[in-house]
Amino acid sequence: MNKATFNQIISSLATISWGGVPVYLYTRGLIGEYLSESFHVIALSGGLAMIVLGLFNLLHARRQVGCGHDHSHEHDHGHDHGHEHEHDHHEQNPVAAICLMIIPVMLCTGFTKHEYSKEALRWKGLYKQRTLKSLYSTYNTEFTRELLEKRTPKTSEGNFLLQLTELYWSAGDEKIMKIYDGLPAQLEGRLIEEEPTLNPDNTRKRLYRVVMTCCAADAQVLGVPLEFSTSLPALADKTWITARGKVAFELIDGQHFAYLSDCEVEATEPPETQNRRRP
Amino acid sequence: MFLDTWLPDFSFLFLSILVEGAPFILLGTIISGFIDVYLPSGAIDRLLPRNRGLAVLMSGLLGIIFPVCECAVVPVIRRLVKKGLPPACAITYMLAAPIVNPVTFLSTYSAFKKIPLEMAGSRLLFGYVIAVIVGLILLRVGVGRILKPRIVGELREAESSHDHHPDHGSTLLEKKNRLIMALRAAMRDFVDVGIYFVIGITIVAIVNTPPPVDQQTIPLRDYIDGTAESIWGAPAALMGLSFLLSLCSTSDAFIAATLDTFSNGPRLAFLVFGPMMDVKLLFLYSTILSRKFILILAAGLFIGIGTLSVLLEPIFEGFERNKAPPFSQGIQE
Repeated sequence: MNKATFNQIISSLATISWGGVPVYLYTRGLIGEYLSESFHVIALSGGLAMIVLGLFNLLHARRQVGCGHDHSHEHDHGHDHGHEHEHDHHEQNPVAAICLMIIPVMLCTGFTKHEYSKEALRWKGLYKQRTLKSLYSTYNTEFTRELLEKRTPKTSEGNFLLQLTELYWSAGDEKIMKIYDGLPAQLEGRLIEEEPTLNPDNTRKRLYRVVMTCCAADAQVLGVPLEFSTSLPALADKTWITARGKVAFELIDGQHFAYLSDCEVEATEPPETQNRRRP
Repeated sequence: MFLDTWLPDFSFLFLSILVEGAPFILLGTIISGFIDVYLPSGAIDRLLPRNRGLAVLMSGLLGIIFPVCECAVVPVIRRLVKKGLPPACAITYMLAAPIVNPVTFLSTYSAFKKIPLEMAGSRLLFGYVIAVIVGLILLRVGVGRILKPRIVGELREAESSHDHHPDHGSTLLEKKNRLIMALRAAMRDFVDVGIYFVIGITIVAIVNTPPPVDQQTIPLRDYIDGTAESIWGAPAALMGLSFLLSLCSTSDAFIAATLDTFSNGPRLAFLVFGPMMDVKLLFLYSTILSRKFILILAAGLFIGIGTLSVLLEPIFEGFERNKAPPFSQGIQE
């Protein structure tokens, strides 16, 4: 086997290994943890195309091909056109392809847990409160309790089916907070322990969702506290739950936070689209 | 700690950026492979006006016809330069195409619900103007100072050697050979660019993974929010954020829309600088451009875009005045 064929085989394997990742994640139903929904089909098609490209070149690795161009000319530039040649005259370093393409992908596929650790959730803002003026500024003065009730579906028990994102971003604006305050609501998300400094009486857990725009790298974690008047639920961290309670607001260190009081929760199946895009 | 949390989180982020970006790189390299084999040298150059200034102006609009994001555009221009496209035109296209294209326009339009046309239009115009300015400046700079020495060597070799005219009357076997050559070139470009892409996304993933030691470290976003009121600090911070996040230009507007503690000028700087220069692009560009030129380009874009965003801020801020609330309009309908 000559050097060019060897390089061709290594490049093919590198391309196939990259293509295998999105196909694996898609077929295992994990792609939603990595990418927002609009990228799912692109990632799958791209992965399949990489595998096809890699396999095609692997099958033709030993084949010597000319460029199919007309080489008839009458000047001498120092090399023989009787041979067959590639257009690019440089050769790739197979060690670089192995070390930088194949090995990192294999290691990361082995090490990933397909979700953020608790430390990363915290770092991505699980216990923080940010404001998003634009979400409600688009409503201006027309946004009222009547409008909220008109556009929000209700459960048979009379709880409004709110998105965790809209409740999270309602905090901070006095007018908007008044509209939501006291509203019986039902939310869906994942349960996690509350930050100890925010939970001195040990009556709270937190509901969170990961919000991504493109991929997990740009994700933000939005959390809303759940206050229980009875004992805390015995559910494991990161369990998907439905939470019912009344919307309330509190002021901590000069910043408003939304939370659900008098909560009841029950475990539920993860939704099809786990990572909501921002409104 | 390192093995339990940092490495799984890093791996998670690394793979998420990889599976998002790799399909676009593949698209770009397949186009580049076919350009290599099927497009005669100088064909693109012949399509552009002979006047170099006009050629640069037109190159900035090529993204409307060939819409590609920033990952896909690099292998394409790499090949086009080797096929004789002047570097000034190629770099104008490279900088403009991720912004001046219908996909990016539509995503920006839908992300900014209150002032969609103003933000999408301003972004397109801002990106075009910056790319053209860079292109016009580069008309006066020698190829050897822009491109990697290896690329310059290949260009010189191509100039002194034969002209590749595709033989359209070739046999079935030759046609098959050419397909194999095109896909072989595509894969070679994919691996070439992929190696640099990995280095870029490794850095992006490290920046976005919580450090393994000090859990009290403040996330980047909190630092950034603190600069919102600063005239010069705000665009600088958002350009820095876009550089580190390395978002895809087709969807970065959804992030910019949430940065509403900032005014429109800095947000436009985020939307224009990011698709032209970020961590992964820094490494992708190094597959064709010289390191010194990349650094000068990065600094120039940072200063130019930042200054323009500050100077034009009064215009950008005027967008939101006298705007009817879209939500109430929807309800009335």
